[in-house]
Amino acid sequence: MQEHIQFEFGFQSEYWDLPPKIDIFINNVLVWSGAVESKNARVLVNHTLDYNQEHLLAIRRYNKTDNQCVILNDGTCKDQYLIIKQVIIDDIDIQNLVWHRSWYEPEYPTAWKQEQELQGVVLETHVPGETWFGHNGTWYFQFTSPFYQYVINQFR
Amino acid sequence: MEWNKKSITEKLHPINDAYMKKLRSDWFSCPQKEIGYKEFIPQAIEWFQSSRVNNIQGWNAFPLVDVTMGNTHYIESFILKYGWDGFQILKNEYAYYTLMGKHGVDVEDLEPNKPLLITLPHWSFCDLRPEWQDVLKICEQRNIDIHIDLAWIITARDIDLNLDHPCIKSFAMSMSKYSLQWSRVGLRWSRQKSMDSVTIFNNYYYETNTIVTSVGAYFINHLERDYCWNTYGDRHHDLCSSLGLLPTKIIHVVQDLETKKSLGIGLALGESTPNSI
Repeated sequence: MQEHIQFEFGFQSEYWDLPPKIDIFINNVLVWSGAVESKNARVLVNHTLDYNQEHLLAIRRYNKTDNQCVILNDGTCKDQYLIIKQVIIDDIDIQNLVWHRSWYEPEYPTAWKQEQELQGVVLETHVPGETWFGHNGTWYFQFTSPFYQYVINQFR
Repeated sequence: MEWNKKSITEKLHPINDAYMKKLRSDWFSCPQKEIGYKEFIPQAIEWFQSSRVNNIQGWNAFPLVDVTMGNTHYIESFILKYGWDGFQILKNEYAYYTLMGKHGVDVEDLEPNKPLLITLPHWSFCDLRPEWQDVLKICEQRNIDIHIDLAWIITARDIDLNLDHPCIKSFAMSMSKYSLQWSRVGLRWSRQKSMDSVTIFNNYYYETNTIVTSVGAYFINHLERDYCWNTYGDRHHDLCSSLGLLPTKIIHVVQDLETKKSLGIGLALGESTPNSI
């Protein structure tokens, strides 16, 4: 059996030069790709899922080059970042599940990463529940189908 | 048989005869077995599908079945999901909506992309709505999901309905019209199940209110699906001939010959039965 599921995303971006870009994948299939240019962007995607299978939703955030974060003379910063504001799957806003079950794998800029390592800072490679993306990287959410049953199982 | 015009009512009471009353009284006075959802659902599916007086097709397109506490539960679960302004009904719908200030629209005025909740068979036409084929066509054109309240189907005959239309997403049937108002129980069939009150009731608060499934199973075991038409079909027509009324496809409803107004004969038929059948 299969189910046809609507995925709805709310994104907020902040940038001064280049907007953040995202690719959305479901089970490694690219279902949406584009720039997030608004503080209140909505993305709708429909996808068919097989029952009783694990599925992986992934959002790859990119287009942040080293020159997109600039420290000004007054100490403030011009930056580019992206926030996932909302994830709605099959009409269910899964905010609590995003906080508890999703994770983010950042891709740190090479020079900055080396600098941090020299200072003894251990950078996280797997950040649970993160929805504010300063760096490029990929956000993941794993679930099963039927989706209503997955949600119920999480709250048992 | 002698029929009295005074026993014809404006209100469309379902039949509640001596046998049904006895079933109820036996339920309370005899030891009963608890029947849970898992056991009840296949029994009830078989019972609802066993009708020989109607021709309902397309069941297999709706493989996901839940227990409801009658069709009002189905409706309320739907409304809770879509919101009071998030669905539409046609004109002349079930009084439940009107009592709470929800008004229907004509078929041509149906809004695109807004789910439609519809009652079939319809209490006033005593059949499917005459514009049913137009409803299907317009819903397809305007991307409107259809959810069908089939509460009256168990008292109907000669209804031809193919449920396997792509716009029809769910439908529900109930046993309430077989004098089970005191312990409403029914089933909801879905093409694809999503989260709502009935889903939670069946999958999260699982095995709660098993009293309704136990009563439902008891009635299923003691009442055949077409009991009302098989028992009262001839009397329905006899009453109409005697009193100059129009027979309909709903066992407890007839119509005035001139005005076509629906009138209730449930009480008259129920009182016409001997104490045991």
